[in-house]
Amino acid sequence: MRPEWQRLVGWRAGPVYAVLPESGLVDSCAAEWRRLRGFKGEHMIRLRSEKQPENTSVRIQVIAAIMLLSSACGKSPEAPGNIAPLKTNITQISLVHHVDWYEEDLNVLFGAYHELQPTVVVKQTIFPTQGLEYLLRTRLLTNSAPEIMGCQPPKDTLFGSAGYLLDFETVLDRPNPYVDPSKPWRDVFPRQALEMVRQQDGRIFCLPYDRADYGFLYNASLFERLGLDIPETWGEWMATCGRLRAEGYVPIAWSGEYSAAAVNIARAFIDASFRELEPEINYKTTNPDVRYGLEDQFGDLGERIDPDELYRAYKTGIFDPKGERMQFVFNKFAELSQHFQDHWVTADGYEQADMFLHGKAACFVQGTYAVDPIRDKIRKEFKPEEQWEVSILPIPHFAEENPDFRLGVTRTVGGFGDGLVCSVPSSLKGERLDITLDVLHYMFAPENYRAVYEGSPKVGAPLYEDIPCDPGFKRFWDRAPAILGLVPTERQLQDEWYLHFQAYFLGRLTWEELADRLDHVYEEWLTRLVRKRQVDPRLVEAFEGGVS
Amino acid sequence: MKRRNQALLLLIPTFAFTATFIYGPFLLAFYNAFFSWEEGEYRIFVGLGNFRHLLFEDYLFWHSMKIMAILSVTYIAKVMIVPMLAAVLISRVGNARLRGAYRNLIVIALIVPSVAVYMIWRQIYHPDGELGLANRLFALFGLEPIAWFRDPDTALLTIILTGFPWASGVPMLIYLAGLQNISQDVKEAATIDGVGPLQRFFRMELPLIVGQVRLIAILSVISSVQDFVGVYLLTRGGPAGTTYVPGLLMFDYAIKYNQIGMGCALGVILFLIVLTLTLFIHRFVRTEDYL
Repeated sequence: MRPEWQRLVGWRAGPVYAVLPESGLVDSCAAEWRRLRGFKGEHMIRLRSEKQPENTSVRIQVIAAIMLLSSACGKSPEAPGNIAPLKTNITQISLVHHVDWYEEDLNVLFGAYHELQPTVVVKQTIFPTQGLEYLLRTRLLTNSAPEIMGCQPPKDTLFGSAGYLLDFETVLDRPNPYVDPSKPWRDVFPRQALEMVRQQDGRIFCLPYDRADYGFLYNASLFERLGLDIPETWGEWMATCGRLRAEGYVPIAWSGEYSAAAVNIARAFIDASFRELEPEINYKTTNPDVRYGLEDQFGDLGERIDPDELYRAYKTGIFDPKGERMQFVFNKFAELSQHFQDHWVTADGYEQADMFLHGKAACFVQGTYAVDPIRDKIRKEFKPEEQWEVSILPIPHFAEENPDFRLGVTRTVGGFGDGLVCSVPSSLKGERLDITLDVLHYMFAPENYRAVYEGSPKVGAPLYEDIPCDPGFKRFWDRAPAILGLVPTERQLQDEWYLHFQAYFLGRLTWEELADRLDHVYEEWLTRLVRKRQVDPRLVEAFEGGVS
Repeated sequence: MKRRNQALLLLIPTFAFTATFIYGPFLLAFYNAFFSWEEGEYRIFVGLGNFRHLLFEDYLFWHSMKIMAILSVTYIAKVMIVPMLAAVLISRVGNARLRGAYRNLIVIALIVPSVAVYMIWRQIYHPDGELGLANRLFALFGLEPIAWFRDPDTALLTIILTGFPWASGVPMLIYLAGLQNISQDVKEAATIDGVGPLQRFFRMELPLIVGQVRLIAILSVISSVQDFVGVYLLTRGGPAGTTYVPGLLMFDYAIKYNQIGMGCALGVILFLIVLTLTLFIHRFVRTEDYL
């Protein structure tokens, strides 16, 4: 083994990773790796903000130099003594994903990794989302998939149940030959990342890599000029919208054409209305033996209800799509929609973005990932004296002002966005498997994760609690409600649900008609879940046999 | 090798490709229509389950069929009548160069990609009084702007109006070829008998181009039943499903929802509709040899 490699591995084993397993990300050596992280993070940001030419090799050298420097700063007492070398032949590990805004920073990261591991080359390929989906389908089935692939859970992780994806749980207990053979790989992966994606049966098919959230982006400069405070309660929202309208602005530009943002906000409203019933609906939460997982298909991170809970809530009438709570949601949305532009129900995403960018609208609904591109656009295309600031508002908590619809816990609108999976071709074993795990753990090291993640437009709440974010976002995360998941997640039924939503706001349906159709959608959803055996058969039997 | 065998040998690649890429997928779609086949899952034989779901349980199926019926009738009328009128008018232009110029003007429009054409119409019908050409014209006459595609009451009508004046190039060329193929003797005989322009069209020209009429009818039925590109680009079936057609439903099932079996079943239903209508046209629109 080459001495320089031994030195580097020693560093990698020490200050950054050895502290992770039991204490989250911050523990006894936190100060040490914070210092390292801050140094590298600042450097990455400086490179980006100065708009230097995209000279990847220079950036690779910079990062590698930082790491070399860091390694010289001292080894952790936990650094192992016996370190096995990587193989001498060049090994290529392929990563295919669809999040193009990570591409540049990941290339830098993999360049730095190559400096540390000269015998390993990580090749990154970006696929369009649809293309990636087909790649997953075809390459996995033909046993020819790349080692690491991006995925969109929970949908793509269904392949795991079919046996096509690597169950990390089965390999993480392998000895880690590059850091300390006496310790397993598990010790160098962030525990949070593993736990948030663990399935009910304990398996882990996917490692989380980013999150997607939605909210109201607003013209912060306009708010400041008009002396408007950040609205938080429903009443404050209505008052602010009224004031904006009086000043000649469209308070909120809305795209009613089907979009993830529109569905998510509608879902947030429904969730808020039913939040009070969360303990009754989400009955498994109180059971410490029950875990939520990606295979629920309802969602992730254990915040949403699962098929059993939905089935029970629907059958017992706790969740009634025709009831008052649902009607309340639609009434409140109608109230809010008075502050949207004309023809909002059929407006597309471009229209709302245009209205916002051209200063006609004060807010619009979009994913948090849109903030940075908009800031960039304003910086590049607007004259300095015409530039303005964009930030994000908390979702209004209308239910707080109605005692019957009080909110419970507040979390976020959104969640786990994209993740990484490994295929299980026959070739992914032995040393290749270890190298793949090494690449993954390098990507998931808080230091490196932060450098890539903060460089992306998705500068929202990070997956790891210790990584700070923009104060505006922080306020958003702190206030936004969590997702119960009461809008169908199955795409076809979600489309149908939204179709009725549109028809109602276009005046084509009365509330009674809408309620009947929504009820039909939920009934069909549950029928499919039962047919696919995603609802516990004992529960189904109990209800079909008339036992509640 | 005999000349006949040589010819058969040379035809083999053509038949092989046709069988592989045309009939193969077609037969496979027929086969898959009897399976529930979703993403990441094995195919499960469900017999007529997909058809039953579409015909009796799918809210959008019959709704889209109604929309398709309306759009098909108007589409066939547009494709049958307007290009025929254009072809008749062009064929009656005395000056050969001018006749060629008119013909070329209509044919040149064919080279514009249909996506670009739909995008232009989308802009023409923009609901904003300042951005949409149609609404700007309305404003000139003091009329209120219309939301066009955005209004569920006018969206379908707007799709029907799209492409005005509907002088489609290919049908017009087929009609024109038929009209120009009419023997000069017949035309002269009609002139000597003092036949008027309308009589000439209905009594002489129309019966003589009935073969072309039948061809256009069949082609327009096929494309009107299967088509969804225009709807997809203009409204995506909205607002609130008021322009949703079966072709779009098939696309959504197969591509968007990954329910391949259901998409295939819908394809089979559409195929049967087209087949029935084609046989009907063959049965009732007969070519009569007047010469």
